[in-house]
Amino acid sequence: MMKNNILELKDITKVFPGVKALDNVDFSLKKGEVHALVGENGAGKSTLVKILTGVYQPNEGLIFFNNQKISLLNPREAFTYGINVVHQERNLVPTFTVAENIMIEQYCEKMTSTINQKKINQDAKKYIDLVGLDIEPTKNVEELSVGKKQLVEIAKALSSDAKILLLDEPTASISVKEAEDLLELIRKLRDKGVTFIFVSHKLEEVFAIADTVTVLRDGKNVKAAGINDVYVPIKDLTRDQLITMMVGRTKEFKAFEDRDFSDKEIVLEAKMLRSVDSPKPKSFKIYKGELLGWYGLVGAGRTEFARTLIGYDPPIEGEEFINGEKVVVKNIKQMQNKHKLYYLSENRKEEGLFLDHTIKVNISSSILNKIKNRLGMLNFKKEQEVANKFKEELDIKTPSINQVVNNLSGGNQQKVSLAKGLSVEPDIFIIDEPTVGIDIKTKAEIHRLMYNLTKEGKSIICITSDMQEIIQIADRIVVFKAGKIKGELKNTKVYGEMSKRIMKLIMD
Amino acid sequence: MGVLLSMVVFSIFVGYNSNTFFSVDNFIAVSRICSITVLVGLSQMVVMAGGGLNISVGAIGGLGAVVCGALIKRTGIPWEFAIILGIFIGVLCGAINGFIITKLGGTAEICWLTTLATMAIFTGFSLGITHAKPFYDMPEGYDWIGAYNIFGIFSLMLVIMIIFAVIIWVLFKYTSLGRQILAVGGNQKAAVLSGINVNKVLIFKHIISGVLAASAGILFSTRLGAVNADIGLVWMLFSFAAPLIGGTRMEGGRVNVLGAVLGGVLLALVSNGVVHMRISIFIVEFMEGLIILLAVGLDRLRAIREENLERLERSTI
Repeated sequence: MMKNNILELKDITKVFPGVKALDNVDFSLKKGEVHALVGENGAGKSTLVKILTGVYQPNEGLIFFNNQKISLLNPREAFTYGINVVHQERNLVPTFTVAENIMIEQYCEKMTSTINQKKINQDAKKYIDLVGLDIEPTKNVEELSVGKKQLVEIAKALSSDAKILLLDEPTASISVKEAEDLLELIRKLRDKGVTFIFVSHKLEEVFAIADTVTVLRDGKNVKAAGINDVYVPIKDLTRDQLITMMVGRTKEFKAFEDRDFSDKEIVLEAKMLRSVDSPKPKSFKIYKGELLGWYGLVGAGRTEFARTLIGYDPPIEGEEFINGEKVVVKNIKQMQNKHKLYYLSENRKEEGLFLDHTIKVNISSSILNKIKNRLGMLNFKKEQEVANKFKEELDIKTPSINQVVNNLSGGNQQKVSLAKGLSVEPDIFIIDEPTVGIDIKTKAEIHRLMYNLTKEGKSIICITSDMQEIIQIADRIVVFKAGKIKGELKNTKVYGEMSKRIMKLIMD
Repeated sequence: MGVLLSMVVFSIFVGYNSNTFFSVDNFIAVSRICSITVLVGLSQMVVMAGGGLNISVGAIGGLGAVVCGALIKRTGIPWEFAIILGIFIGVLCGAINGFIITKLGGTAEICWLTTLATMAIFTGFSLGITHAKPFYDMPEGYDWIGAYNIFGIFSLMLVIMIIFAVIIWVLFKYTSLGRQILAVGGNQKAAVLSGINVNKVLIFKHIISGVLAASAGILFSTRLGAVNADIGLVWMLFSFAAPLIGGTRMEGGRVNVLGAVLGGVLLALVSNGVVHMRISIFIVEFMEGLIILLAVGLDRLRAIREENLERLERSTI
């Protein structure tokens, strides 16, 4: 163990039902450095971050703070050690002023503290200046841009004597100028002795700001070639080396066969389509029986674009064609029933399922129109048949279709979601993040299912942030970045080549 | 189950302390009270099922009765027809509630805020129509509804309530609309993405709620033999209590029609029982409040325990 490590994690293992999110991971942090934590989506970064901040407890492994063994049982404890997470605006009270937000920890310490508005403003001013913000302490936070809110967060952390600041994708939704200012501020604060953990997808930033780097892949540490340590000084790495460390594959990689659809008919095409939530015009097409992958980082605008196509957020400009015919998109019901286009949300629990209801009721919820008679009475026999059919076909593991969905595992919940979509018998099926939080075995089953559906002539758009997944299953890959389509690749299903080509498009 | 047990225990307790509690007359009295508490409870339950609270249940009941009374006394149309129009006022009020709520965004918060406002508006109409003076001397047939007992035991009011309860039970158990209301209450976002017309569902559930409330108001006035504007004024408390005691989830998505009926009966027993025990009216309110707290408290505790279990599982596996 090194003497000057402010924080050290040893052999951390974290298991979720069916998934090993972290497998013997080491992580160490020296005082006064900027340490980048990088890895693909699903590599285990967020799990590690949550362990660092006390949200999750590891199943195995030790945590040292200034060489003292500690445990972080909840976020409050992490906070007392001076470990602070800077979220994007999430930790601020929007209706409070900047000063009130920055000093909230101080004046809320005791129930009986009285509030001296003047003093709060004065004290806050110090931290506002420190982070280089040019705003009045009395301004309301809700009036600020995302980038400025983030600086207020940093100021807030500094006011509570933060020793370690954790920035999770800090530049994801702020302007270029704001990002530059932020990096400058990080350098300044580092020189004053603050330690940073910097989680980012943007390699240029990592190279610009980080002193050292830890790379995670499939929940494990990745060592750089020739360096026998997981703690790697950034100057010893080239950009290509880092990309290889991130994407190099360790798990078994079995891709579906190579297919070409360019001579088939086009079932869905968008031409310069844009909407309120997806303001940048985008064009793409999908052929009959094709499995099209939409890749991009979280927040690249894929979900928003899908919601434009299905009429959740109808287009305001551009054209949408289904089977060669121009469609005036009005609402979800129209797209679902008339044009056989169905979207399955990435957010199973919040937008996909009725968790308190049974499997049967969930599956039939999209086809209530089809299983009722003229009086509006439901045909229970038909409902039962449909549910049982999908239980068999999708192999939903449950003693009964009358089981409440909340009691199922993530994988089985996802199967119920899929069944709910399939019950509508869509011709074009948009599936958003089909395998997030799902064990490997079910993941493979879902991949196979999607493939079989395309064999039956259905077209599938699979939105995923999992590089390996997309190269395994997609026939073509459309790459999104910052609300735009950056490019389109024919997937050769050769991992090394494809992963680099996709990364290049994203890093550009 | 707990409701039934409380009912039995409470009845035995009161019966032990009073020699008039277990009598045919008192059975009829309780069944008349409970026909109102149950209808009002169901009216609230329908709105709860789809996510939201209807603060204007009592005001709709009042307005329905007032319009019915005014039509009979001032225009002289047949009372049967006036009742139908009174119930139609429930449809109208519900449609107004539903329409405003959907226009303002359709969330549960919008729902109770809107109905809070319309409560005042509907009550205002009632006062305006009656000039705060009751309508007396209703037609014989009208009073007959509230007074008649089938075989001398079963109050007609009770029978009417049971018919409504069965209809609501069928609605949630067998119909597409009922299922859609529960879906919207269970997860509004998922309902939208499932192609359910959420606005339509919200308007319909308020119309059903309005019909139940107006019917309760009219039924109450047939028993009273008069119509005045303060019918429904004190309904708010038990409109929440009956469904909550019966296991309906306040956030929506889950109802228990039989439970709400039993909840309404329990409330009726309590208000009747305390009279038999010659306890002050203050205690009645006090006990009703306590019952709601208990019902809600137990429901919350269950939810919290489930959540904690889930958290525990997540962190230890």
